[in-house]
Amino acid sequence: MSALTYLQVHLVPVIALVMVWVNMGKTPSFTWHNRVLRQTMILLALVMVINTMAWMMDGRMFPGTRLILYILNTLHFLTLELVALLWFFYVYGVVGNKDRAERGFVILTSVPMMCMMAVVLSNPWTRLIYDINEENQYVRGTFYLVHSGVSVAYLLAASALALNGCRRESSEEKRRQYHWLAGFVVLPLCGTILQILFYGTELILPLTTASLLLIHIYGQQNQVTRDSLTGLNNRRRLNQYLSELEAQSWGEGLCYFVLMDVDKFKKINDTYGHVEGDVVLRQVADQMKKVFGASRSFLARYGGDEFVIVLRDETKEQLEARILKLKDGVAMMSWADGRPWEISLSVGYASWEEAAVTNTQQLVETADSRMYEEKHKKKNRQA
Amino acid sequence: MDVLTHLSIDLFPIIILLIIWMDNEKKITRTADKWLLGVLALISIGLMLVNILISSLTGAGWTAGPFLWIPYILQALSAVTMTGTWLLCVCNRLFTGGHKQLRQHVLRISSVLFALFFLLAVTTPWSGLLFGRSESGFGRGPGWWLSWLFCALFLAECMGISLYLYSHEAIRDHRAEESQFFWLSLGILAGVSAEYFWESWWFAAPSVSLAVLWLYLNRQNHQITTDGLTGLSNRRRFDQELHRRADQPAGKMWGMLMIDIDDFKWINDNLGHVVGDEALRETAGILRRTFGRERAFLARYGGDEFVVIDDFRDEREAKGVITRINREVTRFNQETKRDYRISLSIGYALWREVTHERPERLVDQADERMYVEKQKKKEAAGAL
Repeated sequence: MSALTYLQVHLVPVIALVMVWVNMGKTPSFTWHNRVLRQTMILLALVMVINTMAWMMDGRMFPGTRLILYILNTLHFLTLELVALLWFFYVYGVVGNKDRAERGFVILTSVPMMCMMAVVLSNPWTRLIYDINEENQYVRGTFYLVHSGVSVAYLLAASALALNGCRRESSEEKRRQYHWLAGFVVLPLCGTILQILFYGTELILPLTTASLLLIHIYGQQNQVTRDSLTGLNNRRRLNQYLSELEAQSWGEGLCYFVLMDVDKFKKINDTYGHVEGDVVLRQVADQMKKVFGASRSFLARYGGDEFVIVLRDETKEQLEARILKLKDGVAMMSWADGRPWEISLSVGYASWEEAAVTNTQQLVETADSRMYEEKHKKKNRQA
Repeated sequence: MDVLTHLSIDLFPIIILLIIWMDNEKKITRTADKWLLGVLALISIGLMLVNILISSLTGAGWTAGPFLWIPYILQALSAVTMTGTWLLCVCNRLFTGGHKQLRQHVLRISSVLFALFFLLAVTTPWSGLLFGRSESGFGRGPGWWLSWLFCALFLAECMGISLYLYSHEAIRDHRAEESQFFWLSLGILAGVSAEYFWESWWFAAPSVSLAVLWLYLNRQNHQITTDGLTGLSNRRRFDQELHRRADQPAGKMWGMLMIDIDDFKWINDNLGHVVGDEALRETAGILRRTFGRERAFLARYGGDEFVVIDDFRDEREAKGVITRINREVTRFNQETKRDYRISLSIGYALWREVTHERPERLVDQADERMYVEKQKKKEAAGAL
């Protein structure tokens, strides 16, 4: 492949990475690991730029070419290693839910990479990884594979971290996310194998870019469908889900639509402020995840202080048991933390099989009216 | 150029387009925009696959045979169809912008152009215009540049439409979108031109893939920062804007309004959720009309609360804006017949009041003033 071809192969991935990098800058993330992801992207673009420049200088006989080639290749390998290292830290941050990486951990896990970097820096004299011959051409050295191996090892370690996190997590959404992170290594590996099998292709870097972009796009999709405060599905996703269910005629088996809201939430907001109100909503959502997490359910924030649970394949008795557990959990919330408020939920549910229900709108309204029944009962009891 | 090189160049754009296409297919709501984007992705992938096919055929030595015309004709048609589909995407904005007449003209002209090119391409085996056969295989015919010309014409139309919409657009954010389409069209034109005028530069479809990626990223971004019901910015975007403003160099005068719909619970409980949603949308409309072309930042804070961030210099200006909003509310109540009347309680807060504290203090301050006004209204109503 000529130098121009390398330029073409890398041009689109580099521009794509820059686009995503710019796009990520528009909605700055407050999490450490997302910042790391953004840095990884721009570094990968840099790797490809340096790689292309090195190929353009390859074989040229201008004065100083040799020096430039050594510099470019050194930079290339160093940045490539840095990308692998940063990816490892990104996965570590996501899976461990870290605010920042502990110093000791960073130093310890960076050691193998530091060694490799030392080898790269010493390469002009040791010629272990590559060599620049008399015609100023790049030639692979004897320990080239060792270098690639270390980088791949970091990617595989990241995948191992992700899979391990899968085992510990009960939330299906988190498990899916970790599976995606673990799968990052697949495309680069395929690229490596293909590039070895078919000499004359340049696939590793473009495929690594594709993998990285896939991860980013998937992550963004999550944000589109998630409520940022509670982590539950948002109203948009709920509407989508209900449309899907309606298209399947609500599937076979039992299906309950549960609507609930926090009693006197406005009062809490007015008395203790918005920040405290947010805490209440987050804790209610956590209780929902705890009680319904293992079941086949769809949890969503309907809006304001209202939540929705779509429960499938469980009987009415099982549903009632869960609702009771949820109410108990929520009542314990205020006691446990020593918080000044008392939380109770009003719950109403309806099933698709009921006679009066023929479309989703009626299902929602039936559940709604039952929820208000409960609310009024409570008010009357107090009065 | 051999197959492997071609594959190396096209693999990444194909994967990106596939990812975007698959994600597009998942959407429940079918709009013309999304459908067109999906079609564009597929055609671009098709063009790249045809290119790879031609590379592998010529690489394998297949330079003869009547069936070889087909991939070449497909190649020419795909390129023009691809740019034509992009034109349809841009045209769609004329439709949503309400410029129906212009859109009709553009579509008519473009259909004629496309039909013309289709004829030229399909009759090439006999005319030898676009490409012809020689001893060494297929090569360019005397009219090979016509493929480029038709693509360029479509792209020029796109740029023209973008410029037209840009000059007619009042809202600042929408103008930014139109200029985006201009630059994207220019980028695609550069890519297509590179492919036709420089041997071994296969950049036409990849440049489209980059344009599609940019649109896709923007759309996702928009969905993450927009409230689905009202179309205003959402709470998350508001938090960002608040912190962005707070981090600006000192000396800037700005502030915010906290707006709450009075008795919204009553509307929801007595008239139903659907009417409640409508009231929210109408309130958003009132705010949009009040601020028109200005740079004010509007957002739905949550539930029945809205916020406005704007460059208020002092208390007087803030109160002036509140009066304007209330005037718009009165006009709304008079002009539209609904089962409810909208009444807003609005509190203001100036940045210089809370400069050395957390930005959230600004929200609390506006919140307190709004609450005070709400109480006043209740007392006044009670007195009546």
